Amino acid sequence: MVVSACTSTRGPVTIRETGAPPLIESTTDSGAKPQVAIVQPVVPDKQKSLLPLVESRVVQANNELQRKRYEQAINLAEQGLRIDRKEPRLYLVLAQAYQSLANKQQAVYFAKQGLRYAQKNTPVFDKLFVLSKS
Amino acid sequence: MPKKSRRSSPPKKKSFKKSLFWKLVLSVAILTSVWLVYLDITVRAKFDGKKWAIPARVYAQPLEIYEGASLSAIDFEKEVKALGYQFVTQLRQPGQVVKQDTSYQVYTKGFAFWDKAEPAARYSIRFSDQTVAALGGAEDLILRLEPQEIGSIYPNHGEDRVLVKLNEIPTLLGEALIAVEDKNFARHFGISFKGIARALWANIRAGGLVQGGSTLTQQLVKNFYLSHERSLWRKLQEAPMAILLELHYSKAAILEAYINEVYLGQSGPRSIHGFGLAAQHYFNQPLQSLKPHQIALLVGMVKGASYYNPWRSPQRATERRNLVLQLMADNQLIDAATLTYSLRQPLTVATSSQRQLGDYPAFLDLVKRQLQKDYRSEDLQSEGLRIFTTMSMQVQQQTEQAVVRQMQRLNAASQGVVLQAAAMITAVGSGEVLAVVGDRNPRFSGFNRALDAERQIGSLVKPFVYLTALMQPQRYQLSSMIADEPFSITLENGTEWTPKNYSEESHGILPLYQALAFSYNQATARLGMDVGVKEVIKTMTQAGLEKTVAPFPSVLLGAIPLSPFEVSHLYHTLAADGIYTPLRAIRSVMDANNQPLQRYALNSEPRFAPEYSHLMHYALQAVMRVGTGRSAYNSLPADLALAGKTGTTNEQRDSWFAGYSGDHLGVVWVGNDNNQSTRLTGSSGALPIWVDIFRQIPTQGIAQTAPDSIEYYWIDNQNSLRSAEGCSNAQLVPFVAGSQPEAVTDCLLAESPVSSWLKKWFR
Repeated sequence: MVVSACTSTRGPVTIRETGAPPLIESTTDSGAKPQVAIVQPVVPDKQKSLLPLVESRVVQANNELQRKRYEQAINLAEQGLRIDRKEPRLYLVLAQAYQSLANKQQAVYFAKQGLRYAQKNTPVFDKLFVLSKS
Repeated sequence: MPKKSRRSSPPKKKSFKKSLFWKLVLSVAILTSVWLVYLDITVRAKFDGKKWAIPARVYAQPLEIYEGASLSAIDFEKEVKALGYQFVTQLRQPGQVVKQDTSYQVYTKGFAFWDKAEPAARYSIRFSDQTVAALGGAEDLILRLEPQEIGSIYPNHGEDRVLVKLNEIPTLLGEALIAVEDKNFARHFGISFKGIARALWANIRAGGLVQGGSTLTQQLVKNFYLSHERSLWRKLQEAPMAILLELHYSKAAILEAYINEVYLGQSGPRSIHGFGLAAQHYFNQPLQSLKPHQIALLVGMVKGASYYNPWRSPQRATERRNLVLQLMADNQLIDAATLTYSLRQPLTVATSSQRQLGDYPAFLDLVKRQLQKDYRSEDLQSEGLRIFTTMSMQVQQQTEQAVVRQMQRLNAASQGVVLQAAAMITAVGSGEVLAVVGDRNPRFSGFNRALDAERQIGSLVKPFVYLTALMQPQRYQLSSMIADEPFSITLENGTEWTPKNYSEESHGILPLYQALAFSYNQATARLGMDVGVKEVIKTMTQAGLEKTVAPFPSVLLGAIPLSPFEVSHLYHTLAADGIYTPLRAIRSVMDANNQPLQRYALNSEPRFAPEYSHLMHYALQAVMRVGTGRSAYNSLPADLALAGKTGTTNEQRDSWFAGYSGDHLGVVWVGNDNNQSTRLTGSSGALPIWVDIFRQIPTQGIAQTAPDSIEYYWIDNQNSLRSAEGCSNAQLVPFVAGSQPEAVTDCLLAESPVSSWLKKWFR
């Protein structure tokens, strides 16, 4: 049956929460075109890291930043990012610390990285945005 | 006159002889004095100065335990055993573990880390489903076990030692050493006439040199100042130097120097000096925690470390140890009960799997090369630096096991041709190198293929061709149709270049992402020529390529020689969402007094916009789901989102695979050193090794969070027009917002793909 003018899905869309097998098994290398669910895009929904250690590092790194102990703040932020590399608050710490250490280029780079993982219209996003333009 | 002369001549002669004699005596006395002054200066200069060149010690990264960490109880046990912890029923002292089902109590040993010194402390850990479910006792929410030492950078003469100070030396060790080697140590002045006489008598009876009469001080002089040659001249120097040493320094200082100097074994090219290192080498424990029977073995080995080697000659070593234990009891150093107990103990030397120093030559090679950018070789070999690396013991060992296992299988099937391999695993984001294997035998410390084998990368180049195109979203999208058909280009030198597919077949018109997934050469070369070879090279440079590459069309099919390390750089940028990070093998360097010298901070730079990175994640996941990498899912969980690319070069000389999860990037190469054909593709050679590694390491799938600038649409695979869920040939494809096609296809309703999949699953 041929149906014309189907409605298409407009993204971003949520299909499944996690990865799953191909919807239809692929064909061989002979050039047949498979129909598969290659990825399952999800809407970003991340306020807090799931790991208490990362939360703790966010707090500690910010405390060090307040005390102007920038090297310690950087060290703690890096520790946290080793566990959760998409935590925007830790990129914000890095950007702020490097800016305070007069390493503007690295500050901008980290701010730009943080922006990739931050939710729009949040204070973290706004601060990262400003730092990325400085 | 003659008479007078005759009469006066004898006294003159006598006087002359006498004078000559006294002159000679005086000369000898002067020469002896000068010699003694020289010896005195020599003795004091070396003893007062820096006695030994202390090698840099290199550590793996510590095992970090925190709630939610991906770590199994088995891996935890493996780590604490490798660190020499003892499993007991009740915690009493550092270095012990109590196990109760999947819960553990651990009493750490304490360690001076690069950022702070962690004291010995008690913790409780509970594991559940390969994860740390609970951690008690950690105020900072994390427990870092002491890192395993993975090697040292020692001088060319190979001497390695761990210095111990007098107050760190167990009393029993000093006393036992004196009882066995030099009973009169406290009373003599450097030499012992009794000892010399006893040795002389033994040597006369044996008709050769069988026994030395040296005191501990003389032995120290011999090892510390003189050659090992048994000669009269050495003996002549040894005695006055021993006396001079005793004259200037206390017995305690001499004993301390002896305990740090004495030779106690060999480990490959590295010689084990001093009891501090010997305790680690033979028992994997610090000197302070050795039991009497362990001390007795080490003391016994002073007589002949090779002859009494406990691994090679356990029976001989046990007999020698028991003799020392008996001497310890005879001298009232241990009581009868301790003697009886100690005699019953096995040798308790570390198992060969625990003797890991120098076992990771390829990783250490990378560490040394990165260190040499900042430190002089002589400082690395002598200043006692402490190098904290990024190596993960778990990942390194799992990578090694996978390489060995799979290479045995491949070589068994390779009909006499011995294939080689290299592999490298990197943490995505931090750019920390977790594992390096440079040979099919990971212990082999020769040519390091992971760093030095520059081989053509074949189809590993293709993602950069497609990325170059996709960065022009108004021209190219993942669904853009491209022809996989024969074509030729006339090169500047007049020759024709005609790319061909591996199968020598053409596949017609198909979407870009499929052309990449199936690694079609004709389609890729056509696309590459369309975007420009120079632009593709520019994209590779953005991703981290540091070489100058001539813009020949063959570059589009991977005619670029790169090492696995260089490939890791390029693919890390893809894996890390387009952020370039120089790969690091070192976290921090401290001096011998635990003062931080240098921290290797994270440096990174966004090189590709997040939307283009997302498109590449999608395309490279297609490789794994439906393309040339799909066999990976025969062994890996279907819900683990992975991306990667196979690579095969002309005449199957090289088999490559580069792939990543959300946490880890792995690059594997298989080939022949002499460039012969492997008869393998990327899928049949390197990919099984990669799969074997990723089957073992705890890793998260790629997060499918699309950036705001990406929108997903259903597209008809046959014509790249907009379609809808449920239509035949419909595929959900990401687009940079605004670049999606507007025209709509006719929809032939297909069976619901979900129900089709569910039917298959439940069947």
